[in-house]
Amino acid sequence: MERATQAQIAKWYPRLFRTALRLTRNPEDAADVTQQTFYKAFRSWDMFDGSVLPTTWLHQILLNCVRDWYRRRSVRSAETLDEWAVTVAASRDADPAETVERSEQADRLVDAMNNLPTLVKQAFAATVLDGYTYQEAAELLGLPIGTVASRVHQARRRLTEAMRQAFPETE
Amino acid sequence: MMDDDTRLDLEERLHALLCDEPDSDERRALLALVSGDDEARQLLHEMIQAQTQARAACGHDEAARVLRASMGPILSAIRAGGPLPTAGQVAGRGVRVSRRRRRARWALRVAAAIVVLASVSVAVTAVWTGRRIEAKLAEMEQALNMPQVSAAEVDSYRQIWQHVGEGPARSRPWVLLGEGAGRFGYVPTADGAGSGADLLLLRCRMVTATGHILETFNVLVPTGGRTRLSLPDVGRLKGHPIHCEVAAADACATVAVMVGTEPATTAGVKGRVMTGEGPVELGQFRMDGDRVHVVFQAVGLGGSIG
Repeated sequence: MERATQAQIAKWYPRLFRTALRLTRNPEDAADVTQQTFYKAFRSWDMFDGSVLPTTWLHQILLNCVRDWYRRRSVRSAETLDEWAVTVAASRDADPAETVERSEQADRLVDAMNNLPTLVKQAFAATVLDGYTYQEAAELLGLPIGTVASRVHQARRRLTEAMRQAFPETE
Repeated sequence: MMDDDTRLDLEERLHALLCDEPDSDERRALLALVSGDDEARQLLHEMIQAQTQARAACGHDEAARVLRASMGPILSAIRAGGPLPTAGQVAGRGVRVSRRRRRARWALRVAAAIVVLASVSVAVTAVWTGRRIEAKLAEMEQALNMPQVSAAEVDSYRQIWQHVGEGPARSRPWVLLGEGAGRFGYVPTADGAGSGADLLLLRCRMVTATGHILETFNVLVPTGGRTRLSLPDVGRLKGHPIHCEVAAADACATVAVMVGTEPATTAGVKGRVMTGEGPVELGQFRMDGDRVHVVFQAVGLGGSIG
């Protein structure tokens, strides 16, 4: 396979970073893990045969890096890795007061995302949160693209409704 | 009202737009659709809002700075095409690493900071994509803001057309109407295949991003066949002459606009406009420091020869 261009990396990097951010819950660790992913990918690019989309291949490398990171940190065991969990990231340098001041609206939205049916949440996390295209998400989730489209649509509708019920005055 | 399938399909295309994926044709088609269709615009607005709020709630806004900074070394490694640092140089934080590795990590961070400054345009991330697209849409709306053809205007075109229609037998006239000036001629016989029974008005506006009109001209051509015209000096843009090429058929017209005479400084756009549809942006170019949007509309004035 031809090496990725700078423009492609500039598009893929934020997607992988956001996935790492969800899994590590910390921007600095997410950056380290994402950088490792790309360095590993560049070094073994010749082994990439193009049978899957580059983002699928990169995603797999990222998951391995995150598992290594889990092991090194001894935070969580690799077996409990929930690939599509919706989590809140906070920088280690974050001002505690700012963390406390997180708006109620943001908390309710995270609750609403976590209350989505698992399969719907996965499609939403992959596309809207992480920023993969529907085609990339379909391959990552092993689903037809139409199913991804329908689940993302459902997620958006449910979240809008949940927020409308929680904050009717903002209508 | 969109049906479910159309809506899902459009959501997929708009999401690809938010991911910065489509090629320039698809991007232009989507922006044109969104700028002219309230339902599509509302859908895009909802999608951007959902994405922005969901990411903000998950702490992505605070992480954006780290994302940009960490992408720099990766992009610079590709740009340099040289040997890549080892994975150990970017090993997880808090893990015990050797002094050499620590030094390398700091070197990497310093390099990252330098690269970020240099590659700020590349490192603009999708966090800003929504805002950029909304700004782009607002810009397109301004540029495409062309008033409808008034009844008085149509009458005046018909009168002009009647006058020039009294020319040589079986000839097919064309009329150019610019700022306070106009001229007309006849389509070469070989090209004049149609009856010339109907009239097509091609309206052109060259505007800035804020909708300020720099130049405007209209061309009246007969339909009912294929009409090819090469019109030099249809107007002037910042002192440079404008040349217009028209190939009009029944349902559409292909138009090209070129500004300037020197090959080194000539700029232009080319595209197709469909008769009866709203104004479309043919393209943009830079002229003397300003971005110029070229907007065209094809309006069929059926049976106007009278």
